[in-house]
Amino acid sequence: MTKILLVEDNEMNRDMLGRRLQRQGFSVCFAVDGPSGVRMASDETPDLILMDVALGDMDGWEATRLIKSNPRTREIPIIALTAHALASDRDTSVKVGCADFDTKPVDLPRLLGKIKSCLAA
Amino acid sequence: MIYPVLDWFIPASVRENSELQQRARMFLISHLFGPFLGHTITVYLYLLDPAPTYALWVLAGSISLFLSFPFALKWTGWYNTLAILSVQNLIFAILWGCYHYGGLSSPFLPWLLTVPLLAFFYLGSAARQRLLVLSLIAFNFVGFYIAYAQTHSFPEHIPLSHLSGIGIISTLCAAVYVSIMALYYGNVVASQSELEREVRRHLATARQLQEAKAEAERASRAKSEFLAKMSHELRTPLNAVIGYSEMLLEEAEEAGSGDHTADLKRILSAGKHLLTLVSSVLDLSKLEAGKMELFPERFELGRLIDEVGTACQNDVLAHGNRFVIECPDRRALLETDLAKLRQAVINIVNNAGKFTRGGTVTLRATVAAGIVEIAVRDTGIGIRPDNLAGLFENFGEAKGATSSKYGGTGLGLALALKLCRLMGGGIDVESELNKGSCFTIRVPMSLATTLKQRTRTDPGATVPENDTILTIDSDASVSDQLRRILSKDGYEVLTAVTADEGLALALANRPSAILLGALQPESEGWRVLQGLKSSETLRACPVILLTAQHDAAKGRAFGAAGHLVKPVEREQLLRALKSLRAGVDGNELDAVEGVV
Repeated sequence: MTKILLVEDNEMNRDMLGRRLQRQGFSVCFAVDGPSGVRMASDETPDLILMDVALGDMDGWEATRLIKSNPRTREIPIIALTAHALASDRDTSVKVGCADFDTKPVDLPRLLGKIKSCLAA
Repeated sequence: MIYPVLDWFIPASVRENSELQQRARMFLISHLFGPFLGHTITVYLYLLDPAPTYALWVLAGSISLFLSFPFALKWTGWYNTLAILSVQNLIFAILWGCYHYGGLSSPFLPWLLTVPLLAFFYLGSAARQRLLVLSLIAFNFVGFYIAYAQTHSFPEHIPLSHLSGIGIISTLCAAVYVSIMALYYGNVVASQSELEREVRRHLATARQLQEAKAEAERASRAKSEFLAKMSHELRTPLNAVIGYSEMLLEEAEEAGSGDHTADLKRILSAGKHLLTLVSSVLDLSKLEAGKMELFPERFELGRLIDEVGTACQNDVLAHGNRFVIECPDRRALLETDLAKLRQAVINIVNNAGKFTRGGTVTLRATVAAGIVEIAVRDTGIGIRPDNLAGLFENFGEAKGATSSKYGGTGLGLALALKLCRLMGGGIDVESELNKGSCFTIRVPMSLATTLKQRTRTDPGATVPENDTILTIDSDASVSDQLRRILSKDGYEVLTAVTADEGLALALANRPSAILLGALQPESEGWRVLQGLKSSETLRACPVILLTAQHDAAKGRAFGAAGHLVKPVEREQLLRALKSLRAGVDGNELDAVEGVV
């Protein structure tokens, strides 16, 4: 079963997206902040990571950088999720090594499309 | 009251200097009234001696001569010369009177007091003037003494004892005369301090206005920040409402519980509507704070129109309308911010759908001359002409009864217009009450049209062989500065302050280049460029935009050959014009890009 790590600090968003992904047949594990996201990526070695950008002290970009610098987790594709569709956000997500980028609130069919293409690549 | 009479005598050259004008007025008052006071004495002398000698005639002539000075001033304008001559004539008249009537005991002696007083009134009291006046007095006294020294006595035309009455009159006249002058001088001083107070009041008001403006700007910024923050805070719970209702809806559909799906759909639709409103507020406040970024993407016009069609279909059809989509240039390639353009078009189409019942909404998209034109026509209720002006203001939708029947906050239109402006375009509206409206969006096809592409589309581009430059700017001082720079280098400069004037001058004179500055309102500049573009004869004429900020891409998208940032420096301007010409002659238009 495809395992997705969802790094999201907002409890409601985490619950919502997690349950919807589970219903789509994914196995989902959760991290509530940047450091635990990095740890979980290493411990659980998911097939894909959904990374909220606006986390607390360590933001999603920083967590992504750390995940990408670890040989064990380097190959895991990461999709960044931000609240704003700013060009600068898009640029940063590419720079830190994200495979894709999507905006919140999540449009599930669109996100599923991105997840599929990331997993296929 | 008296000033018009006085000012009639004052020539324009004197009037230019307000201080000189004040002195000239004093000069005129004394010359218009003084001789009449002076002549009371000559009349009295004539009464004492009905067969007067030459002495009286000379005195009368000298006094009468003063009356000619105002006219001399009007015709010659030599104020200073005339003032000196007048002082000389005054000293002469007094000393002549003293010499012939009473010598050192003469009743005319008090008049001597008026000489320095008047002289300083006329000429001012700078050191040079004082010296001049005192030397003049001294020179005359020397003359007086020489005349006396001839015989060591004064001629006695009338016995001194008969002159006592005239002494009183003479002293009185001198006093009245000096009083008039002093009164007038007092008035001048008073009015000057009043003027000063007025200036101080104006300065204080200006300062207050500036403070108020700064305060208003602060408040506006605070409002924008507050709205941005609030919208963000509102969106989070709203997203949860939408997300969970979507989840429940999916579950309900899977479980086949039909009763719930309809209700859940309502919650979802209301939530999405609320989210649109909140997002609009957020976007508007971002736009107002100048924090909205553009993200250009390459896409075909057809894609944009399809997306708009899908997004708007339900809302337009909901009111029993037909939705017609025409897009003959489906394959036309655009390079602009897809999301923002789509947002703008969706807002306009939804607006049309909202105000139309059982009619037709037509969405028609075409491209021409680098511009994509998207017209949304409806057969709805139309807009009253007096409502057109405020249509695009935030919350500016039709008020009162209309608003409550059709719903809406008017945010959509304001947002659409601001988005189009951001992309270098605008929205035009035509409407007839109860017949329908047509909103036309026009934006450049590309946010960064390159000059090369543009010249390829105009292969026949030639510039007429002349050195005429046309400047168009609402601010005449800008045109003036450009004219000064350019005329020195042999260019002939035409200036226009409005779009229509600019276009007319361009057509009539076919200038070799056009410098387009700021016009009021902003859309007028856009209109000029469009007018030039669509004219067969003027299309080739290069336009250089003069902008306040560095936005070359926008300028190029508008079809300009280049842009210069104000204030324009001479070197820069001349180089730009020169390379424009070189470029056209030698096909080296890249040089222009480098320069401007």
